[in-house]
Formats: sequence, C-alpha cells, structure tokens
Amino acid sequence: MLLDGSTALAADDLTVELGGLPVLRGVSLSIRAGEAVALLGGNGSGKSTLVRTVLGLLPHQRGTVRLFGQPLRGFRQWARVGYVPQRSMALLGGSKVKEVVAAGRLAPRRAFRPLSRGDREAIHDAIAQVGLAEQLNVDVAALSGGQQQRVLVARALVGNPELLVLDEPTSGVDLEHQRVLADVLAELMSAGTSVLVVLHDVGPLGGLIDRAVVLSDGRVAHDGPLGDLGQHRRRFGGHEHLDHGRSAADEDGDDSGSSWLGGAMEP
Amino acid sequence: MIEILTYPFMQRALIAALLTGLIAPAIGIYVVQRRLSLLGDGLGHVALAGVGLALLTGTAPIPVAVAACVAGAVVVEVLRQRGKATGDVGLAILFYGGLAAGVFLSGISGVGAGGLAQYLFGSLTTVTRDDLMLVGLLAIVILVITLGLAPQLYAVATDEEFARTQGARVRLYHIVVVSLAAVTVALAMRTVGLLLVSALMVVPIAAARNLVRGFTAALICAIAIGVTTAVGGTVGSFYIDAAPGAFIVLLAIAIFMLSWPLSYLLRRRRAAAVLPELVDDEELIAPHMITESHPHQHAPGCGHTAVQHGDHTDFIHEGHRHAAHADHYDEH
Repeated sequence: MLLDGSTALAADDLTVELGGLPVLRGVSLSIRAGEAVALLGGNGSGKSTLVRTVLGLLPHQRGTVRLFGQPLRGFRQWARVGYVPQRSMALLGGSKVKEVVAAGRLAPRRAFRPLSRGDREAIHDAIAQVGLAEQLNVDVAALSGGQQQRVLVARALVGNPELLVLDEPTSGVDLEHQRVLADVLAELMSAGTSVLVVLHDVGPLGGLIDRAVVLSDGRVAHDGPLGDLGQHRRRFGGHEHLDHGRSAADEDGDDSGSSWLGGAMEP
Repeated sequence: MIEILTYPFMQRALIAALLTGLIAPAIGIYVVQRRLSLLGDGLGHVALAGVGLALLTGTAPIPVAVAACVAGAVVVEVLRQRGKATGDVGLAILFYGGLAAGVFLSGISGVGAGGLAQYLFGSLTTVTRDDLMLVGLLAIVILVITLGLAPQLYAVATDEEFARTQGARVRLYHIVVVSLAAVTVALAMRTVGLLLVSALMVVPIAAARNLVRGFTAALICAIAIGVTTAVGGTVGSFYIDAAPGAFIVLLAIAIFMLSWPLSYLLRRRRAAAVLPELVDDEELIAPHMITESHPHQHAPGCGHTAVQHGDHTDFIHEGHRHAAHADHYDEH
C-alpha cells in the first residue's frame, strides 16, 4: 500500500466495533491523488462507518488511517479534506444558504477574524458552482431535497479540498440533480481533486469512477474497476452479497442501467 | 420616565438590564441551536447553590454564583460528552442538586428559603456598584467571545460532525458555550432572576426566527428584542412595583406571540411580491395533481409569468401554477 504524499487516503486493516458488534473487519482502502473511488455495498455493509472512521468521526479498534501520508491522530490540515454527510442538522432551517456554506470555510480561517474578501468570493463561487447562485439568501429549509444536497456539496467545496468525501450524495435525489453533481465532480476531478463517494446506485456518476470498492458484511468484497463487478457478482454468488433491489433511477423509469450492479452487468 | 433615571439604584438596575438583554440572546442562540433550551433553567438552579454558599460565608453572591454555575455546567457537559449522562438526565441533576443545595445552605446561614426570592425573580434595588462592575466586565467578555467566535460556534452548533472534519475543537467549543451560558445566568439574577433568565435566552430567539431569515439576522433581531424587553420590563416594574423578572419575561413572550401574525404578514408580503394571485400554501394542493388537457407549451417568454419553485420553474396560468413534468403539466 502506498503511504507517500501522493496517496490522499490510506486505511489499513481497519476494525471498528459499534455497541460491541463488529461493523468493519480488517478493511483496507487507499485513494491515490486525483483518483475517484466509489464505495458500494448493501445497507449495513459498513460503507458509512468506513467513511466516518477515516474522517476521525468514529473510533477504530484496530488498524491505521493516514490522510495525505499523515496519521489521522494529530492530523491538522483539515482544509485539504471536504466532507458531504448524508444528512445534516444544518438543513433543519434558520440559516441562509450562504451561512451554511460559509461553515465550510472554517478550517482555513482564524478565530476572531471576520470573513475576508477571499472567503466571501470562495463562498459565492462554491454556491454558483452547484447552481444555487439565485438561492444565496434563501432559508435552507425552503429548498428541495436535491438543492439541499447541493448546499452540502458547496459547503464541502468552499475550502478547495484536495480530497472530497461524499456519503450517499445521490440517495433520494432525482436524476437531474445527480447529473448536476456529476458535472461538479467532473470539474473538480479535472483540477486534480481525489474523490471517495459512497453510492447505493452508480447512476450518472458511473462515468467518473476510476475504481469501485464493494463492502459486504464489513469486509472488502471487491476492489477494482467498476466494469469488473459483473464477474465479481458471479464469483460471490450475486444477490445475497450485492443486490439492493431497484435503483432510484429505475424507479424513475430510467432505462440507462444506472443501478451500480445493473450497470456493471450490462454487456 | 426621566424621573426614574434620577434614582441611582434605577440607573444601576437599567444598566444591568441592558447588559443582560444584550448577552442572554447572544449566547442563547447557540444553546437553542443545540436544542438545549432548558439548559439555562438548570444552570439557574445551580447558581442558587452559589447564592446559598455566599449567604453562608457572608461574601458577595454574584461571584460565588458565577463560579458555582460555571463549575456545574462544565461538569455536566463533560459527563454528557463522555456518554455518562444524556442531556436531559444531566439537566435534571443540575435542577434538583442546585435547588436543594441552595435552599439547604441558605437555611443553615439563617436567611431561610424566603430570602432567596430576590435572586429567583430579580429585584430593582439590589444591584450594587460592585455588581455592576462585574456584570459589565463579564458582559464584555461574553460579547467578544460569542461574536468573535461566531463562525466556529455556529458551525459546531448546527453540524457538530462537519465541524469536526473542519478541525474545529468541538468539545472545547461546547464547554465554552455552556460556561458562557452559566456566567450569563448568574449575572442575570439581579435583573431577570435565576428562575426566569432562561426565558431571556430562548424567547427572543424564537421570536426573531419568526421575524427574520437567516442566523445572523436572527441573532441581531434577538439581541434587539432582548434589550428592549429587559429595559422595558425594568422600567415597567418600577411603576407597578413588581419583580422585574416577571415583567421582562412577559414582555418577551408578548413579542413572541406578536411575531406569529407578523411573520404570517411578512411571508404574505414576500409571496405577493412574486405571486400576486396565489396563496403561499403548497399543502393545499396534492403533490402530483395533473392538469387537464393543456395544449399550450409553457416556456420562458410564453406570456405566462415564470416563478422559481424549488428546483424547477412554475408558470402562472389562470391563477394557479403549472410545472412541466414528462408529457404533462402538474398543478403546484
């Protein structure tokens, strides 16, 4: 496993127990600089736990995590990391879009200093980048689910991170919003940003993914190109490990094969 | 009105009220955001233990109350962070332990529980020059921290996990917020009183959120409401000879109740500016009601007013809104 400066994220042999139950069992994951990795798996497979552990939000019982070559414990360069959680209390209302996004500028700012001109420009740019320039002063609670998700993406982008971690950014979001997100991610990746994205369905993001890591029951069941998943499914006996039923896009009547498994199974 | 300013005790009471009105909402907004609206109540009870201790030792009550209150707040916050006590259990321990200790200690000191009333509901005549100096000094500290660290405190209060991924020292900021809330509660005992100060930390925030949009605007509006009600209540209590705490809190609640119809009017006005004919109540219409046969194709410049609605555009058509969906239009 690469542990030099060109590795954005390196998790090795991670074991995490929650409430005494093992959720991750010896999981290793690395993301090279500029690489886009999709983290796939069924409900309860440990995807969100892995993401939250590598960001230091959950303790791990065994293994190591390094961000940009530095151990997670004592890591201080948080401005290099952007995080888009699945849900956020910040979306419950009482804040304007620009206020929520400004919170993403926290890491590079010093205490007792007002927003600089550079901060303000970065906030406006990030909001414009996700297509919400018109909603700058709107209460976040008044936005649609897809727009709220984009607010969280803007909040993660505003610090110009080198590694962007997104936890199911497409769940419950219609296809149009997924396409907007795909465009935003494509732009970031062309600028060299590394991406770790948890997905239930690949959908429009499929074309951007360099590598897919599939978790099953807290273990890595597949780590390789997205296209190899079909072969993998046959090897692991299919549905019991990997199938999640119909994808969101399928339910919308989309026939583009956007389920991550379905897409991978396309000839 | 001018005559009350000629009394030195009223000058001191008014300055103390003004400062309390400033700081209670400034820290209260973070307490409310963390859904700990009753924290101030629990801290008020702990401050009472400090008052009891001061009565027993014959020292000035405010400094002892500040120390007791901050110590209690930090202990409960640390227990909460370590998972030893949930938020509500921690608050309950504060409530009962503080109140019992306050009454017990004042009893031993010979003052008795009745002597605590002036601290529970405020008193116009009890603000001393030393009290005022301490209140002024600590109010400046609280304002500098709450306004200077506003981005950090906001981030931690609205999304703790995200703030952690930004490198924010979340635990430290939580302790800062509860400590400043504790200081505010202890300082407010001369004006609003320990039992009612929590209301001044919560009610102006609730009213401000009805009236304005966004966190910063709510903070400014809440401080304005806090100052108005604290000073207004203090003046009012002089004329009707009542405890100022009750008057201040009733005024704040009156403003909160007025904020409902006002917010409704404000929303209607904003909606009317965009959508003159329509009621801004989307729940009246089913989320997916298909229009009848509609041969007209809506598009920008088609002659119908276009209105941004969430993530799409509606077109106003004979008093209702049409939204394009697949091969038909939905009623929105």
